[in-house]
Amino acid sequence: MHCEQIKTLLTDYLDGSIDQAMRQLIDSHLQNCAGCQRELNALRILWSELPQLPPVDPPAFLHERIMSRVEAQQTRQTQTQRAGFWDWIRGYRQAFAGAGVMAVLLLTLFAVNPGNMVGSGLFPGIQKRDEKPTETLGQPVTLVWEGVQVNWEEGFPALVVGTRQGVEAKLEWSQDGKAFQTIWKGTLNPNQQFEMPLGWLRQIPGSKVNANVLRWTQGSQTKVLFVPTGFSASEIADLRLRDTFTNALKVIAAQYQQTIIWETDSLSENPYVVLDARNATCEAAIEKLIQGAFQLTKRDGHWVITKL
Amino acid sequence: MNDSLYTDQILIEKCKKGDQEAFDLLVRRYENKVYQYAYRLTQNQEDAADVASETFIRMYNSLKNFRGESQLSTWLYRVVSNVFYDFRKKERSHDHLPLEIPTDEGESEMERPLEDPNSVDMDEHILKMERNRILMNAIKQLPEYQRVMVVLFHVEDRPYEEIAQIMDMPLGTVKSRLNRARAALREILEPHLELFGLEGSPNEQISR
Ligand SMILES: [Zn+2]
Repeated sequence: MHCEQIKTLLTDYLDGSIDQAMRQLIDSHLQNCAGCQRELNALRILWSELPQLPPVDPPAFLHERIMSRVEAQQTRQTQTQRAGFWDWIRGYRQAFAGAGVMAVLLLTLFAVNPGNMVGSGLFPGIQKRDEKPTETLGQPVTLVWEGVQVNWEEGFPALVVGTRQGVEAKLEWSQDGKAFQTIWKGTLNPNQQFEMPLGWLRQIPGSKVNANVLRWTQGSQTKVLFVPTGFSASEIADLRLRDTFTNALKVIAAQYQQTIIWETDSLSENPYVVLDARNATCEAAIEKLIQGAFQLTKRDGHWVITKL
Repeated sequence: MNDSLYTDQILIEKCKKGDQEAFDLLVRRYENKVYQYAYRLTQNQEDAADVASETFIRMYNSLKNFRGESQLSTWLYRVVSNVFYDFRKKERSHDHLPLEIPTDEGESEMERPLEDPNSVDMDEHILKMERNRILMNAIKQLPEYQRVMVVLFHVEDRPYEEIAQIMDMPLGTVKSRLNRARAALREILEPHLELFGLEGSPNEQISR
């Protein structure tokens, strides 16, 4: 073996995580090679000195800072969550002030992505439903959906998943519905329960809306969830916004504190939409958004959007 | 309340019932450990204190969901790592710094020439301090994931199994990622390896 190959094995050699035959090969090489011998010495010192880095003294203010931040966050939690959302909506309202034309349009697609996004085919028209949601809003609800649940305890959502078969699974989070980052990835064993508290998602810097986009992948199935993270819900609201489709779903989830599940194939198409839903229930707002291009159903207290 | 009387689990149960003193005790029990780890990752007192604070905020928010399936310390390692990633992401979005390019500060410190490293009377203590400084700087140049790997394994001395839990990865992935991280660290230290070869044979002239 060449020195280059030997050198890549030396860390394992020091760890002892190398088989006997290889060890002997390296031993005999080391006896005749000063260069590799030096490398071995250097690595031995390197890996043995890392754990000996002297401990650093925590600053005197550490405990104080932690406790005051936790406390500040506790009091802020209820107030600013709400305020932040309304500021955001207000921003949209201002942006639209005077644009009288907009009021006429219930939903307009902007040709952001004309190549793969054709408005006419995807959102052919409006189909209004007459039924109103029957459950009391703001009550703890449970989403049961192919083994995935979002449980609410005192306003804190938690994702709970259990399967009957072992399966590779992944939970991802996204700010914009486009770039997803992995929160958890692993193997779900049969009858094992995976639980992820989602309350911390509201701590994410720059998060503007009190709802998060989560993507749960289990085997080859992928579902997208719009999960509100908790403040008092509206039953009837005026929603006017121009944003991407996924962000519009986030706003609706936050406004009505309802989990919305996207069960169609993907969200690769994420067009800009204008939503003008006034005096609307959650259902009416979603209907206005999807314009009859998808099916909206209520399942276990949650809104599910599926293919027609 | 006497700290040592209570296990983590008992304190957590008390916290869930709204016992602020129990939370205070939990923080005191882990703040030093959390800070040490955060400092190794951020290498900056202010950032480490901020990462520690954010970690305990997340702990506070999640305690009621903590079922005790893993050790609190393991769980905290994971939260610190995640907070650290978030901080770095935020930092990057402010600075527009590309992911793996070291800061100017790190660069210039790394490149600072040593006063004749072969000098026989270079005090062993100074040598060790210099190695520490170089090691910390080298760790700082690793991308976040590798930094977390190296610090957990070599500095915090966590076993493979616990790292697998902290990072939510299969054991095999932990080992291969750690190997990559070590190779990267070794690469960064290339210009300084002489310094590491000196120990045990300070009189030997090393020619490279
Ligand atoms: Zn050799």
